Amino acid sequence: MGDRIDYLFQEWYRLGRAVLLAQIDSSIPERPPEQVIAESTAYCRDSGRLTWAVLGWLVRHVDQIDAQALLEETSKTGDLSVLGVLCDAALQKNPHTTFTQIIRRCPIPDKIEPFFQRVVCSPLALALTRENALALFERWSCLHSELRYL
Amino acid sequence: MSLARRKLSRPGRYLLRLYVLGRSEQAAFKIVALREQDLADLEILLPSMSLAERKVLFRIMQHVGTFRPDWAQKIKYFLEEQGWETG
Repeated sequence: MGDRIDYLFQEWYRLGRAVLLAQIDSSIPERPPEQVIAESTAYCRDSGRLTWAVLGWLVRHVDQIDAQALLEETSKTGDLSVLGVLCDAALQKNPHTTFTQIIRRCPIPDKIEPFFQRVVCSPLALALTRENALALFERWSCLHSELRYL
Repeated sequence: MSLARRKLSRPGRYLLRLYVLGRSEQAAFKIVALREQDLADLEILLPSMSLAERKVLFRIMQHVGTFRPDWAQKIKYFLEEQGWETG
């Protein structure tokens, strides 16, 4: 999993996100942003850094997104509810109709749970997250207390 | 690393004070912040800390308790969660 997240960071670097990398691998093949976003949604719950990198890119480059292609890719390789949270968060910063179109097609999970997997493993982090849960994440049946726009 | 700059009496001359933060200080900061990325870093940082670094972290916790008891408590609770004996 860590290797795949590292690979995604390389791709985000190529897409123009200011991510900090130990080493830049310029040999990786280029993919359309829809594919990179879709796969990233599958790993966002395992990495806050990845989540904020994707969110920052969405806010700035929404014009470059093919909403239909993104939804199709995400249903195949990613997590549509994570895409919904990210687009909702991006919409707060950049009220673009593409986000609204995507959000409408993303399912809200039935079960409420912490957004990040690591938070589940720490009773202290979990208690603090519950205490300070943000409404935006709660709308998507997620508990999280921080929103970062890089 | 933090850098403090003070102007000296001679024009154009400055005294630089350089503070280097160790792994114990980093761990303390990250526990107080406790964002997801801090949890990720602490997963690597805490198990690799030497006995001396652990002692420094305990001293930091005690010192922090003198001005932010809530932060000190947070450090204590988190370390105990990780199976550390905090006394």
